[in-house]
Amino acid sequence: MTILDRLLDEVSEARGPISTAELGRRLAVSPSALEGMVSVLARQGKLVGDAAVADGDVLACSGSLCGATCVGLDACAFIASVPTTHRLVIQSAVR
Amino acid sequence: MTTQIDYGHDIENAVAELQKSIRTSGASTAYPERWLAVALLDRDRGLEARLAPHPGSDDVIETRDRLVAGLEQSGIDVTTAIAGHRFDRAHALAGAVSHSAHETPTSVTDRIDAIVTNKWLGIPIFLFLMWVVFKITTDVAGAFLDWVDGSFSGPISTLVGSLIGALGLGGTWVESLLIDGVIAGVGAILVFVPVLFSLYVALAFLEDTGYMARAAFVMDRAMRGIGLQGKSFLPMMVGFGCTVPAVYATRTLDNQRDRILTTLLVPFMSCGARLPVYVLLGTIFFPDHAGLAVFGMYLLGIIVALVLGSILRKTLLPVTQHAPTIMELPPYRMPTFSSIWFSTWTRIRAFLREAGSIIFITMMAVWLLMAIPVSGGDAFADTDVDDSAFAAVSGVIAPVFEPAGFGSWEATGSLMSGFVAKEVVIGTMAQAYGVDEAEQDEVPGSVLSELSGVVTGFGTATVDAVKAIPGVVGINLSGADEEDESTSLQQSIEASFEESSGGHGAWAALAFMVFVLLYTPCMAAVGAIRGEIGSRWMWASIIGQTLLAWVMAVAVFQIGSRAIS
Repeated sequence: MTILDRLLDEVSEARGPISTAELGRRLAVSPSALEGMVSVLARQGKLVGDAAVADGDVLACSGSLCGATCVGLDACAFIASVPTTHRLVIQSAVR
Repeated sequence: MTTQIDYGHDIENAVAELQKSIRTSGASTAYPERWLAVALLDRDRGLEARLAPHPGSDDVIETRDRLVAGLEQSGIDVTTAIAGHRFDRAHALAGAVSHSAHETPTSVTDRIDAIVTNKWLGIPIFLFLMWVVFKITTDVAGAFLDWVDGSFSGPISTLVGSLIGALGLGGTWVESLLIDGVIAGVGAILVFVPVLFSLYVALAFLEDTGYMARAAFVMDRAMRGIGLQGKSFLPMMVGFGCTVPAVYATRTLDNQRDRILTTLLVPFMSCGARLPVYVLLGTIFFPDHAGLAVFGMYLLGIIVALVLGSILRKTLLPVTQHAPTIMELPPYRMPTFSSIWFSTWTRIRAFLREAGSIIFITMMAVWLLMAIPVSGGDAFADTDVDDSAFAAVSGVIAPVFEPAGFGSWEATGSLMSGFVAKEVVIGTMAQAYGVDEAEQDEVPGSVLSELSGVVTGFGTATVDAVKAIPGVVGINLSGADEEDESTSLQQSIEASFEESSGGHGAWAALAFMVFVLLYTPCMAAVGAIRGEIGSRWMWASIIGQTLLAWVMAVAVFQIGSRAIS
């Protein structure tokens, strides 16, 4: 079992989300090494990176639907910074 | 230590066979055979393209595909296995040439996270911080409410009245429009800018420190616990500011059912526009526990969303499985004044922009309906507001709210106009109850004397706000015998709720707050919901929310008032 297999196991067996810090501790790897691993797994389609809400393509807060409480994406004051997440692709059981 | 990576028995066999295929097919290139074989097994598309012109390359690719298919049938994901063995080697090399990186001392962020993201402590800490935020919002910012209110009802009204008089328009509909419509209506909404300011400062502080990411983390875990997708909480957090971008933020979710479910739940997160209603009624009916009342509304919104989501998940919108996630939590940082100010100001500016656009227009429409007499005796803009078209229309619907204790036309009309935007609820209340206020007003002083009062009032409000800060942690510097004076608007609202509820005004007010929390947030949110999940779900949201709001409001009033009795 390689370290990437262990990473996928840790994520799939975690009850709820797991932070990168906790995952790094469990695998005994540095944050930068873990970032590289997550990046490789994302490229391979084992993990799917979820865009942060602040990314422009996520919030199309503009156009005809806007009304009383929407001032458009550029000026939208309520876009919150949320943590970047990577979701495990369920069907990636094959190792 | 050998430099060649051992990819394990199965893959090494495949590498050897592919090397043999490369040799025998004549597709040999300048690349080392082993490296080429591993890269092909790793599905290096660029390399495949470069290999294509070589004779025999088709045979090599065919062999590769056969080998990969065989490995995958054995349960081996080749690309992940190859990458994994490379990382293992890199990890081993790093370990051999350096001291163990994982033995580095625990960082401050890790130490804090061990507490705030703890499985058992995480949610109580989140709730405690939210309670502190709303305590600050009501206690500290509340000191400025009377000051801003006094500024609108004092010098601004006096100045506008004087100007209108000078233009010879005193006593006309123009005076009524400006004083009763614009100043009483829009002004009543702007009174709550200090409250929103303090809320946005507190939220910006929590966001900039990095705590809000932890809040998303702990709530993610909680939501999974009851069968909801954890990531649904991210749009919901946006919903604490405004429902519209929160609805759009559901696009981050993975499947249509999750998007529909979260879109239906997002409106239960109490947006900033509802805060003034809670603060006004909380201050009137729960003066010693206004912060707790406001916090209770936000908490109730979360609980309703979780319970309803859980029910919908088990009935109309079942989802089979939720993928586990890795969440990247940023390190804690000390916020800077400029970043907090920027975030707060952009939000306040958005609020002010609204006040000058759709809210202004709605308040004018409400004023117009209040200015039209329904019986023949009065003239336009000179009618008793109880005899206005607004009162007549609201009065038809008002009996629906009698079981909830607020079946007056004023409260009903405020809720009706609140369909446009929640800010309008307060503005409508100010217009509806403001007539009584005008009757009770003392003779206004000169503009100069009132301006002087505004300046001294600001100083007093600042001192009161500073004194209120220790009160957040239970230290009272204001003096036990000091009591706030109610404004005539507050007295009118209190009297009206007491009357409509048969003496249970506090329960009626609480029921009213619950209704405001749970019914449709605003027309813009309705438009966003329609755009994201379609008209059918939009109507389901409007009808479902309104019914739920009514049932909850009635339950709060009936149970509360009977329990007290």
